[in-house]
Amino acid sequence: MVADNRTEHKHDQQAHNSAVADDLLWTTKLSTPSQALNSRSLPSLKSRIATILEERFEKFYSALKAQDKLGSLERVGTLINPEQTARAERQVPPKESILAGAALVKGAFDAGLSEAQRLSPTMAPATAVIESQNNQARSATPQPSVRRDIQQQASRSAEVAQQSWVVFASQLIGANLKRLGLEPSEIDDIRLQLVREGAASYEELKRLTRLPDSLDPATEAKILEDIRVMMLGYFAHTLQERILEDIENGVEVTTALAIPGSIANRLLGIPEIDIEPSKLVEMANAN
Amino acid sequence: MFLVKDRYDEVFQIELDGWCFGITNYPGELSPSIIHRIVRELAASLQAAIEHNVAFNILEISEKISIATRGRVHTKEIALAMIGQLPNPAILQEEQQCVLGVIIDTVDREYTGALESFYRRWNLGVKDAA
Repeated sequence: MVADNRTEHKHDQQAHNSAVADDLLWTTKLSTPSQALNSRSLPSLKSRIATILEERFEKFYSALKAQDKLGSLERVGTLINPEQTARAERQVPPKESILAGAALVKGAFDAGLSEAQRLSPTMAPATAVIESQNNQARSATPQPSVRRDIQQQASRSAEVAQQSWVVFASQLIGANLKRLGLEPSEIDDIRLQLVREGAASYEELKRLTRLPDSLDPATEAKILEDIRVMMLGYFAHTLQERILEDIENGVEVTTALAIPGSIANRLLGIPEIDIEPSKLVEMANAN
Repeated sequence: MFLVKDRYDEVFQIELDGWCFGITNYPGELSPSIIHRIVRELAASLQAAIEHNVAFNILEISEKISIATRGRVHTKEIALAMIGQLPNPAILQEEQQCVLGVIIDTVDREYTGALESFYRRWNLGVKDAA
Protein backbone atom coordinates (compact mmCIF):
# COMPACT_ATOMS: atom_id res chain seq x y z
CA MET A 1 0.00 0.00 0.00
CA VAL A 2 2.78 2.33 0.99
CA ALA A 3 4.69 1.32 -2.12
CA ASP A 4 1.60 2.05 -4.26
CA ASN A 5 1.30 5.47 -2.70
CA ARG A 6 4.95 6.14 -3.37
CA THR A 7 4.58 5.06 -7.00
CA GLU A 8 1.52 7.24 -7.38
CA HIS A 9 3.30 10.16 -5.80
CA LYS A 10 6.27 9.58 -8.08
CA HIS A 11 4.01 9.57 -11.12
CA ASP A 12 2.33 12.76 -9.94
CA GLN A 13 5.68 14.35 -9.42
CA GLN A 14 6.86 13.29 -12.87
CA ALA A 15 3.70 14.65 -14.42
CA HIS A 16 4.16 17.88 -12.56
CA ASN A 17 7.81 18.09 -13.58
CA SER A 18 6.81 17.47 -17.15
CA ALA A 19 4.27 20.29 -16.92
CA VAL A 20 6.94 22.58 -15.54
CA ALA A 21 9.31 21.52 -18.32
CA ASP A 22 6.60 22.34 -20.84
CA ASP A 23 6.21 25.70 -19.24
CA LEU A 24 9.89 26.23 -19.67
CA LEU A 25 9.50 25.85 -23.39
CA TRP A 26 8.28 29.36 -23.80
CA THR A 27 10.09 29.73 -27.09
CA THR A 28 7.93 27.10 -28.73
CA LYS A 29 5.16 29.64 -28.50
CA LEU A 30 7.15 31.79 -30.88
CA SER A 31 7.81 29.00 -33.32
CA THR A 32 4.61 29.33 -35.31
CA PRO A 33 5.49 31.35 -38.44
CA SER A 34 1.95 32.70 -38.84
CA GLN A 35 2.25 34.55 -35.59
CA ALA A 36 5.51 36.12 -36.64
CA LEU A 37 4.11 37.32 -39.92
CA ASN A 38 1.47 39.36 -38.15
CA SER A 39 3.98 41.45 -36.29
CA ARG A 40 6.78 42.49 -38.54
CA SER A 41 7.06 46.00 -37.19
CA LEU A 42 9.83 46.31 -34.68
CA PRO A 43 8.01 47.94 -31.76
CA SER A 44 5.21 45.43 -31.92
CA LEU A 45 7.63 42.56 -32.24
CA LYS A 46 9.75 43.71 -29.36
CA SER A 47 6.73 44.27 -27.21
CA ARG A 48 5.45 40.84 -28.05
CA ILE A 49 8.73 39.15 -27.29
CA ALA A 50 9.05 41.03 -24.06
CA THR A 51 5.55 40.12 -23.00
CA ILE A 52 5.92 36.46 -23.83
CA LEU A 53 9.26 36.27 -22.10
CA GLU A 54 7.89 37.95 -19.05
CA GLU A 55 4.78 35.84 -18.91
CA ARG A 56 6.57 32.56 -19.50
CA PHE A 57 9.26 33.27 -16.99
CA GLU A 58 6.75 34.38 -14.43
CA LYS A 59 4.82 31.17 -14.89
CA PHE A 60 7.65 28.73 -14.53
CA TYR A 61 9.21 30.83 -11.84
CA SER A 62 6.04 30.42 -9.80
CA ALA A 63 6.05 26.71 -10.57
CA LEU A 64 9.62 26.44 -9.39
CA LYS A 65 8.79 28.27 -6.24
CA ALA A 66 5.85 25.97 -5.62
CA GLN A 67 8.11 22.96 -5.98
CA ASP A 68 10.85 24.55 -3.95
CA LYS A 69 13.23 23.77 -6.77
CA LEU A 70 14.48 27.24 -7.14
CA GLY A 71 16.92 26.66 -4.34
CA SER A 72 18.65 29.25 -2.32
CA LEU A 73 20.34 32.30 -3.70
CA GLU A 74 23.61 30.66 -2.78
CA ARG A 75 22.99 27.88 -5.23
CA VAL A 76 22.24 30.32 -8.00
CA GLY A 77 25.25 32.30 -6.87
CA THR A 78 27.50 29.29 -7.33
CA LEU A 79 26.61 29.30 -10.98
CA ILE A 80 28.20 32.68 -11.35
CA ASN A 81 31.53 31.29 -10.23
CA PRO A 82 33.09 29.38 -13.14
CA GLU A 83 34.74 26.70 -10.99
CA GLN A 84 31.62 26.12 -8.98
CA THR A 85 29.58 26.20 -12.15
CA ALA A 86 31.63 23.37 -13.61
CA ARG A 87 31.20 21.43 -10.38
CA ALA A 88 27.49 22.16 -10.29
CA GLU A 89 27.06 21.00 -13.87
CA ARG A 90 28.69 17.70 -13.02
CA GLN A 91 26.59 17.12 -9.94
CA VAL A 92 23.26 18.71 -10.76
CA PRO A 93 20.90 16.85 -13.12
CA PRO A 94 20.15 18.55 -16.45
CA LYS A 95 16.73 19.75 -15.39
CA GLU A 96 18.16 21.36 -12.29
CA SER A 97 20.67 23.16 -14.45
CA ILE A 98 17.87 24.38 -16.63
CA LEU A 99 15.89 25.60 -13.68
CA ALA A 100 18.81 27.32 -12.05
CA GLY A 101 19.89 28.89 -15.31
CA ALA A 102 16.36 29.98 -16.04
CA ALA A 103 16.14 31.59 -12.63
CA LEU A 104 19.20 33.64 -13.48
CA VAL A 105 17.68 34.66 -16.76
CA LYS A 106 14.47 35.55 -15.02
CA GLY A 107 16.25 37.86 -12.61
CA ALA A 108 18.33 39.43 -15.31
CA PHE A 109 15.40 39.89 -17.60
CA ASP A 110 13.14 41.28 -14.92
CA ALA A 111 15.68 43.97 -14.18
CA GLY A 112 16.39 44.74 -17.79
CA LEU A 113 12.83 44.61 -18.95
CA SER A 114 11.38 46.81 -16.27
CA GLU A 115 14.09 49.38 -16.86
CA ALA A 116 13.70 49.18 -20.61
CA GLN A 117 9.93 49.55 -20.30
CA ARG A 118 10.39 52.57 -18.12
CA LEU A 119 12.79 54.23 -20.49
CA SER A 120 11.45 53.18 -23.85
CA PRO A 121 7.81 53.59 -24.86
CA THR A 122 8.33 50.97 -27.56
CA MET A 123 8.72 48.34 -24.87
CA ALA A 124 5.30 49.12 -23.47
CA PRO A 125 3.21 46.40 -21.81
CA ALA A 126 1.21 43.97 -23.90
CA THR A 127 -1.71 45.11 -25.96
CA ALA A 128 -4.87 43.14 -26.53
CA VAL A 129 -3.50 41.92 -29.85
CA ILE A 130 -0.44 40.51 -28.18
CA GLU A 131 -2.56 38.91 -25.52
CA SER A 132 -4.64 37.23 -28.19
CA GLN A 133 -1.50 36.04 -29.95
CA ASN A 134 -0.24 34.64 -26.71
CA ASN A 135 -3.47 32.80 -26.14
CA GLN A 136 -3.13 31.24 -29.58
CA ALA A 137 0.45 30.40 -28.82
CA ARG A 138 -0.49 28.55 -25.67
CA SER A 139 -2.40 26.02 -27.71
CA ALA A 140 0.63 25.28 -29.89
CA THR A 141 2.13 21.82 -29.49
CA PRO A 142 5.79 21.75 -28.43
CA GLN A 143 8.04 20.23 -31.07
CA PRO A 144 10.67 17.75 -29.84
CA SER A 145 13.51 19.36 -31.79
CA VAL A 146 12.68 22.78 -30.42
CA ARG A 147 12.40 21.32 -26.95
CA ARG A 148 15.91 19.89 -27.24
CA ASP A 149 17.25 23.19 -28.48
CA ILE A 150 15.69 25.10 -25.67
CA GLN A 151 16.91 22.67 -23.08
CA GLN A 152 20.43 22.94 -24.42
CA GLN A 153 20.11 26.67 -24.59
CA ALA A 154 18.89 26.90 -21.03
CA SER A 155 21.58 24.57 -19.75
CA ARG A 156 24.15 26.86 -21.33
CA SER A 157 22.64 29.79 -19.47
CA ALA A 158 24.75 28.96 -16.45
CA GLU A 159 27.89 29.39 -18.49
CA VAL A 160 26.86 32.71 -19.89
CA ALA A 161 25.55 33.94 -16.58
CA GLN A 162 28.87 35.63 -16.02
CA GLN A 163 28.13 37.92 -18.92
CA SER A 164 26.02 41.00 -18.50
CA TRP A 165 22.30 40.58 -18.83
CA VAL A 166 22.34 42.83 -21.86
CA VAL A 167 24.50 40.44 -23.86
CA PHE A 168 22.69 37.38 -22.62
CA ALA A 169 19.24 38.76 -23.29
CA SER A 170 20.41 39.68 -26.77
CA GLN A 171 21.57 36.12 -27.42
CA LEU A 172 18.38 34.68 -26.07
CA ILE A 173 16.15 36.96 -28.09
CA GLY A 174 18.29 36.53 -31.20
CA ALA A 175 17.94 32.76 -31.00
CA ASN A 176 14.19 33.07 -30.79
CA LEU A 177 13.94 35.56 -33.60
CA LYS A 178 15.22 32.84 -35.93
CA ARG A 179 12.20 30.79 -35.07
CA LEU A 180 9.98 33.67 -36.11
CA GLY A 181 11.21 33.25 -39.65
CA LEU A 182 12.96 36.60 -39.84
CA GLU A 183 15.87 37.23 -42.17
CA PRO A 184 19.36 37.20 -40.59
CA SER A 185 19.84 40.87 -41.46
CA GLU A 186 16.58 41.75 -39.72
CA ILE A 187 17.60 39.70 -36.71
CA ASP A 188 20.92 41.50 -36.56
CA ASP A 189 19.18 44.86 -36.76
CA ILE A 190 16.77 43.99 -34.00
CA ARG A 191 19.47 42.50 -31.87
CA LEU A 192 21.69 45.53 -32.34
CA GLN A 193 18.88 47.86 -31.42
CA LEU A 194 18.00 45.79 -28.38
CA VAL A 195 21.59 45.75 -27.24
CA ARG A 196 21.85 49.49 -27.74
CA GLU A 197 18.66 50.08 -25.81
CA GLY A 198 19.71 47.62 -23.16
CA ALA A 199 23.13 49.19 -22.81
CA ALA A 200 21.61 52.65 -22.64
CA SER A 201 19.16 51.43 -20.02
CA TYR A 202 21.97 49.86 -18.08
CA GLU A 203 23.97 53.08 -18.18
CA GLU A 204 20.90 55.00 -17.14
CA LEU A 205 20.29 52.55 -14.32
CA LYS A 206 23.87 52.93 -13.15
CA ARG A 207 23.55 56.68 -13.28
CA LEU A 208 20.29 56.62 -11.37
CA THR A 209 21.54 54.29 -8.68
CA ARG A 210 24.81 56.10 -8.12
CA LEU A 211 25.05 57.64 -4.71
CA PRO A 212 24.16 60.30 -3.79
CA ASP A 213 22.10 61.10 -6.86
CA SER A 214 19.72 58.28 -6.15
CA LEU A 215 18.80 59.70 -2.78
CA ASP A 216 15.70 61.78 -2.81
CA PRO A 217 15.19 64.46 -0.15
CA ALA A 218 12.70 62.33 1.78
CA THR A 219 15.14 59.43 2.02
CA GLU A 220 17.90 61.76 3.08
CA ALA A 221 15.70 63.28 5.74
CA LYS A 222 14.83 59.82 7.06
CA ILE A 223 18.51 58.80 7.21
CA LEU A 224 19.38 62.06 8.95
CA GLU A 225 16.58 61.51 11.44
CA ASP A 226 17.82 57.98 12.19
CA ILE A 227 21.34 59.23 12.79
CA ARG A 228 20.04 62.12 14.89
CA VAL A 229 18.06 59.71 17.09
CA MET A 230 21.19 57.62 17.61
CA MET A 231 23.13 60.78 18.45
CA LEU A 232 20.52 61.90 20.98
CA GLY A 233 20.47 58.43 22.55
CA TYR A 234 24.24 58.45 22.80
CA PHE A 235 24.21 61.98 24.18
CA ALA A 236 21.63 61.25 26.88
CA HIS A 237 23.32 58.01 27.92
CA THR A 238 26.85 59.43 28.03
CA LEU A 239 25.81 62.57 29.83
CA GLN A 240 24.00 60.51 32.46
CA GLU A 241 27.08 58.30 32.86
CA ARG A 242 29.27 61.38 33.23
CA ILE A 243 27.04 62.87 35.94
CA LEU A 244 26.86 59.56 37.84
CA GLU A 245 30.63 59.25 37.57
CA ASP A 246 31.06 62.71 39.07
CA ILE A 247 28.71 61.84 41.93
CA GLU A 248 30.49 58.53 42.62
CA ASN A 249 33.89 60.23 42.61
CA GLY A 250 32.63 62.83 45.04
CA VAL A 251 33.24 65.64 42.61
CA GLU A 252 31.59 68.72 43.95
CA VAL A 253 29.49 70.08 41.18
CA THR A 254 29.72 73.79 41.34
CA THR A 255 28.88 74.56 37.74
CA ALA A 256 25.90 73.26 35.90
CA LEU A 257 26.45 71.38 32.68
CA ALA A 258 25.16 73.40 29.77
CA ILE A 259 23.00 71.41 27.43
CA PRO A 260 23.20 72.87 23.96
CA GLY A 261 20.01 74.48 22.85
CA SER A 262 20.19 72.54 19.60
CA ILE A 263 19.89 69.31 21.56
CA ALA A 264 17.49 70.53 24.23
CA ASN A 265 15.12 71.77 21.55
CA ARG A 266 15.07 68.38 19.89
CA LEU A 267 14.32 66.66 23.16
CA LEU A 268 11.55 69.13 23.94
CA GLY A 269 9.42 67.78 21.13
CA ILE A 270 9.15 64.31 22.68
CA PRO A 271 5.68 63.90 24.20
CA GLU A 272 5.23 62.58 27.72
CA ILE A 273 3.51 59.27 28.23
CA ASP A 274 1.32 58.61 31.25
CA ILE A 275 1.91 55.14 32.61
CA GLU A 276 0.34 53.76 35.76
CA PRO A 277 2.94 52.51 38.28
CA SER A 278 1.32 49.07 38.40
CA LYS A 279 1.67 48.74 34.61
CA LEU A 280 5.26 49.87 34.84
CA VAL A 281 5.96 47.04 37.29
CA GLU A 282 4.22 44.61 34.97
CA MET A 283 6.32 45.80 32.06
CA ALA A 284 9.48 45.47 34.11
CA ASN A 285 8.55 41.94 35.18
CA ALA A 286 7.70 41.01 31.63
CA ASN A 287 11.18 42.02 30.48
CA MET B 1 44.00 80.26 27.03
CA PHE B 2 40.24 80.79 27.05
CA LEU B 3 38.12 80.08 30.10
CA VAL B 4 35.49 77.59 29.01
CA LYS B 5 32.02 78.38 30.32
CA ASP B 6 29.69 75.80 31.88
CA ARG B 7 31.93 72.82 31.00
CA TYR B 8 30.62 73.18 27.49
CA ASP B 9 33.72 71.55 26.04
CA GLU B 10 32.63 68.25 27.61
CA VAL B 11 29.09 68.56 26.34
CA PHE B 12 30.26 69.58 22.88
CA GLN B 13 32.60 66.62 22.77
CA ILE B 14 29.79 64.24 23.76
CA GLU B 15 27.56 65.66 21.05
CA LEU B 16 30.25 65.20 18.40
CA ASP B 17 30.90 61.67 19.64
CA GLY B 18 27.15 61.10 19.43
CA TRP B 19 27.05 62.16 15.78
CA CYS B 20 30.04 59.93 15.02
CA PHE B 21 28.29 57.10 16.86
CA GLY B 22 25.18 57.60 14.74
CA ILE B 23 27.17 57.77 11.50
CA THR B 24 29.21 54.70 12.36
CA ASN B 25 26.24 52.64 13.43
CA TYR B 26 23.88 53.61 10.66
CA PRO B 27 23.22 50.31 8.88
CA GLY B 28 22.80 51.62 5.33
CA GLU B 29 24.94 53.44 2.85
CA LEU B 30 25.81 57.03 3.62
CA SER B 31 26.32 59.56 0.89
CA PRO B 32 28.45 62.70 1.16
CA SER B 33 25.29 64.80 1.00
CA ILE B 34 24.08 63.22 4.26
CA ILE B 35 27.36 64.18 5.92
CA HIS B 36 26.98 67.72 4.63
CA ARG B 37 23.50 67.85 6.14
CA ILE B 38 24.89 66.65 9.45
CA VAL B 39 27.53 69.37 9.29
CA ARG B 40 24.76 71.90 8.68
CA GLU B 41 22.98 70.48 11.75
CA LEU B 42 26.13 71.22 13.72
CA ALA B 43 25.93 74.96 12.98
CA ALA B 44 24.03 75.79 16.18
CA SER B 45 26.37 73.68 18.29
CA LEU B 46 29.45 75.28 16.72
CA GLN B 47 28.11 78.71 17.53
CA ALA B 48 27.23 77.64 21.08
CA ALA B 49 30.72 76.21 21.51
CA ILE B 50 32.32 79.48 20.42
CA GLU B 51 30.00 81.42 22.70
CA HIS B 52 31.21 79.23 25.56
CA ASN B 53 34.84 79.90 24.62
CA VAL B 54 35.52 76.40 23.32
CA ALA B 55 38.32 76.68 20.75
CA PHE B 56 37.65 73.35 19.10
CA ASN B 57 39.91 71.90 16.47
CA ILE B 58 38.00 71.56 13.20
CA LEU B 59 40.70 69.34 11.70
CA GLU B 60 40.39 66.80 14.51
CA ILE B 61 36.61 66.85 14.35
CA SER B 62 36.65 66.47 10.57
CA GLU B 63 39.04 63.56 10.75
CA LYS B 64 36.87 61.87 13.35
CA ILE B 65 33.76 62.28 11.19
CA SER B 66 35.67 61.14 8.11
CA ILE B 67 36.73 57.98 9.91
CA ALA B 68 33.11 57.44 11.01
CA THR B 69 32.09 57.57 7.34
CA ARG B 70 34.76 54.95 6.63
CA GLY B 71 36.62 57.41 4.46
CA ARG B 72 33.67 58.04 2.18
CA VAL B 73 34.01 61.78 2.76
CA HIS B 74 37.44 63.36 2.90
CA THR B 75 38.62 65.28 5.95
CA LYS B 76 39.25 68.40 3.89
CA GLU B 77 35.74 68.39 2.49
CA ILE B 78 34.24 68.12 5.98
CA ALA B 79 36.60 70.76 7.39
CA LEU B 80 35.70 73.29 4.70
CA ALA B 81 32.02 72.49 5.10
CA MET B 82 32.34 73.16 8.83
CA ILE B 83 34.07 76.46 8.13
CA GLY B 84 30.99 77.40 6.17
CA GLN B 85 28.82 76.78 9.23
CA LEU B 86 30.79 79.01 11.60
CA PRO B 87 28.88 82.06 12.88
CA ASN B 88 29.34 85.54 11.56
CA PRO B 89 31.96 87.33 13.71
CA ALA B 90 29.74 90.39 13.72
CA ILE B 91 27.33 88.72 16.13
CA LEU B 92 30.10 87.64 18.53
CA GLN B 93 31.74 89.48 21.38
CA GLU B 94 35.42 90.38 21.24
CA GLU B 95 36.63 87.39 23.25
CA GLN B 96 34.55 85.01 21.18
CA GLN B 97 35.87 86.56 17.99
CA CYS B 98 39.35 85.61 19.23
CA VAL B 99 38.12 82.04 19.77
CA LEU B 100 36.76 82.04 16.25
CA GLY B 101 40.08 83.39 14.96
CA VAL B 102 41.97 80.52 16.61
CA ILE B 103 39.55 77.96 15.14
CA ILE B 104 39.87 79.32 11.60
CA ASP B 105 43.61 79.79 11.87
CA THR B 106 44.08 76.08 12.63
CA VAL B 107 42.26 75.17 9.43
CA ASP B 108 43.97 77.87 7.36
CA ARG B 109 47.40 76.54 8.33
CA GLU B 110 46.43 73.15 6.94
CA TYR B 111 44.30 74.24 4.02
CA THR B 112 45.36 77.63 2.73
CA GLY B 113 42.43 79.73 1.64
CA ALA B 114 40.07 78.78 4.43
CA LEU B 115 40.34 82.20 6.02
CA GLU B 116 39.79 83.95 2.70
CA SER B 117 36.78 81.78 2.00
CA PHE B 118 35.39 82.59 5.42
CA TYR B 119 35.84 86.34 4.94
CA ARG B 120 34.21 86.19 1.55
CA ARG B 121 31.21 84.44 3.03
CA TRP B 122 31.14 86.88 5.91
CA ASN B 123 31.19 89.88 3.58
CA LEU B 124 28.39 88.37 1.55
CA GLY B 125 26.43 87.91 4.76
CA VAL B 126 27.00 91.55 5.71
CA LYS B 127 25.83 92.65 2.27
CA ASP B 128 22.75 90.48 2.52
CA ALA B 129 21.93 91.91 5.93
CA ALA B 130 22.34 95.42 4.59
